[in-house]
Amino acid sequence: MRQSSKRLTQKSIRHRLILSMGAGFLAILTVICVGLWGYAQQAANESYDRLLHGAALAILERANLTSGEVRVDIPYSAFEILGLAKQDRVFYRIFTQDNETITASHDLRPAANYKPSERPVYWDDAYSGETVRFMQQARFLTGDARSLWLIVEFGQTCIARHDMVADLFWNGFAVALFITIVGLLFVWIAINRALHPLIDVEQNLRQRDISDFTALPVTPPREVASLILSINGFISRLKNNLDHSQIFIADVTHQIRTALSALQGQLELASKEQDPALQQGRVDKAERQSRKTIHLTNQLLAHAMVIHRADQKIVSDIHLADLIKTVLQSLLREHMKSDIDFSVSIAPEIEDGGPDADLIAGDVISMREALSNVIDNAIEHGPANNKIDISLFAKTGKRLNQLILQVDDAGPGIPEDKRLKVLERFYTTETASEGSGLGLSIVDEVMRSHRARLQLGDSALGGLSVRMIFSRKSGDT
Amino acid sequence: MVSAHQKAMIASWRTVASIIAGLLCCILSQAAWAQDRTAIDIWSTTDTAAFESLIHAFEQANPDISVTYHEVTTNELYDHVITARERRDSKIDLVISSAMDLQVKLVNEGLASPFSADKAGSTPLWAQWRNELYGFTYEPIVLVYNKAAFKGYPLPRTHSDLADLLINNLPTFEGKVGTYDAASSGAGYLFFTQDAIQSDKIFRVIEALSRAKMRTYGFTSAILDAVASGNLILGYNVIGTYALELASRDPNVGIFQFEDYTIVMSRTAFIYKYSHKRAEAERFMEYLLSDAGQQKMAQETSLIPIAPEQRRLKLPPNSTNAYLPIKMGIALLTYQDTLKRRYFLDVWNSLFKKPETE
Repeated sequence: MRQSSKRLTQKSIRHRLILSMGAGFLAILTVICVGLWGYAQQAANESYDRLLHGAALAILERANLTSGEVRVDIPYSAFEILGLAKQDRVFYRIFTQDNETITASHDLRPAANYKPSERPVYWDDAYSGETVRFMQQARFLTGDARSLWLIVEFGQTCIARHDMVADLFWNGFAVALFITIVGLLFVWIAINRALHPLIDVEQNLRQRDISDFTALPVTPPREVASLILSINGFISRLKNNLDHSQIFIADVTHQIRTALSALQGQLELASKEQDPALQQGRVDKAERQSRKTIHLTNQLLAHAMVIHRADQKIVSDIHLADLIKTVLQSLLREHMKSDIDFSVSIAPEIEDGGPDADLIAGDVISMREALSNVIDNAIEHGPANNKIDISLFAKTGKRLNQLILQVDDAGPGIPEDKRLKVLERFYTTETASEGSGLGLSIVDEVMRSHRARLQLGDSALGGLSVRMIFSRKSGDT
Repeated sequence: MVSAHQKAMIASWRTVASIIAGLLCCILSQAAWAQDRTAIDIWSTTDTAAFESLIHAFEQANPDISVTYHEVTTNELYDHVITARERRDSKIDLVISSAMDLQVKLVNEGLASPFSADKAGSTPLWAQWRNELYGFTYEPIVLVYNKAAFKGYPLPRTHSDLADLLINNLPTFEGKVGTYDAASSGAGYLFFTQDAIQSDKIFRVIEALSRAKMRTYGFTSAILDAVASGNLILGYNVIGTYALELASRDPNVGIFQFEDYTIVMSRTAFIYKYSHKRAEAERFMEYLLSDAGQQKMAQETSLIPIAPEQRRLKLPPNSTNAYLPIKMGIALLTYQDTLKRRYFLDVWNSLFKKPETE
């Protein structure tokens, strides 16, 4: 039930519009019906009240006072007028102001608090088992001996009135219903016309070739213009993305092919070399080339993994101090015999700031990859007796709550104009290096997916300073 | 001269006849159908003789219903029905009368029960009121004359002609013209009041009738007998049905209809509101108005049915086109107003004083 109603609301603007318009029309129809009913009743009462009035006047015209006695000669026309309400029964009484009956068909009660006047009075009452409309009309009779008010009272059943009310009401209702249906039909047509651009868009997108990235060929009405613009924007972004992927695949293919053909070349030379000493040198070269290829492949995989994980949006709590320790431990194991001087400094406000002082939200594996790439990069490009300093400190302020992870080295550094370039894939500062050209690009990717900032600068140690700025996750949230 | 004695004789003879007819009905039904039959009571002003074969045909078609037929005069019928509720009289199911104004008055009192117009066959609209009161005959009001006594006089074509004829031949017609007594006969009152509504000329006619010392009668048969025997030369405003029947039997009796207008009366029936056998009464009503019933009426009774095809066969050959059927409706109440009736009868009595009060 819930699902179906949900589907209905999702289903179409058309249904929603037609439903709300239908409800609106229904409300209007109801109001019209109420008004119509009142009008019909008033019209029927006025029409048939006139019959009563006319008949009473016809009778009173034939009444006179002769020698003190009231004479009333009811004309045939009086009852013929009443007979225009064909199915209705009639009761009457003709009496004087002193309630003395002159003639009557029934002993009708006079109107309450009636003061004889030229104006007719009307009222409804139950009589003889039916609803009866009563009327009284008076006439002042003057005679020689005395003068008096003569009053005619009529009662008429309401069959003709009810018939007329029903007649007027249903005729009016039929017209109102017709207008409603025609109105809804126009609404339907209007909705279809209004929705036409959207249907065009839908058809265009459905029939579109997969490689077609041209903008939608519709001139949208104002209301859906931004939607069409967004779709067109999306199409062009999709095209860019696809283009980038194609370039990336081409780059990767080129890099691996170059590395593998270099390895192939070394191995061929080694196999052709007769001199065992020289052959050993060739084999060593081939081995180096092989390691380089493996490193390149690993980096490519790492890059792909980082991007994939960024898409997956894997988030957990990361203690940066712990992260530094873990990464450094595995690096020290690898570079145990080297002369590189590693140092770690963690600011005292973090050291003593409680368990959550170094907390950020992010993906541990990606972060580990990023940090080790930064340090690897320093080791690779630096001298054998390099100095590498890893520091963690906080920067707090009014609206500022940042954790900064900084890696300084004493290597050659990167000239300022190339600091943006090194973040691109497969860009290295020196051609002969062992670098894959992916290290800092991976770091950049991770920073971006963590909404962190990456800053490259000159280090106090003489080399490059890599600064990663995170927003701290407050412990209690 | 119709004396009070004669009148009483006629009345008592009719009562005896109706009792005998009722008894016969009872005996016949008891003998033929020992099992349960629902008996319905019809109160009517129509001659039992004229209605008998119709009732018989109905009973044959509906073996589960037996009919008890009560024949009374129009005013008796009105009094009987209007007071029935007070008397807690449940032995009334169907009310039939030739006095249309009294029937309308009873229906206006709310004493009728609705009968669907769908079952009313080909009854014209003017002969229906409120889906309660239905006319089932079409009977012109005619002038009856004794052919032998009338010889040598031109037949009057209009009401004015009649007035001229009477005034110009007073010695011949004095005491030789008769009609219903409007004071005691509801049908007679209806015909004269309808005359008054139709035309002002009627006052000349009434004046002429008065000068011709018109005699008044309580029953159609009395007028017809008097005309047949030669006691009367002219019978004015006589129900055509009975007159036609007599004319077909007695070559000495003639009939004519006025060409300026001829009033047409319709016998009307309604189902009594407090009837305990409404379903059976409805079946009789349906039969009365059905094609079968109307055909039976045309073939086997002296009544002229209201269904147009049947009616044409039975109307007198010298029919005029001036038929004016009395329209059923509330207007018929006008002359039932107490004052109006009193004014009319005051004039009537002053003009046609009864012989015994003279």
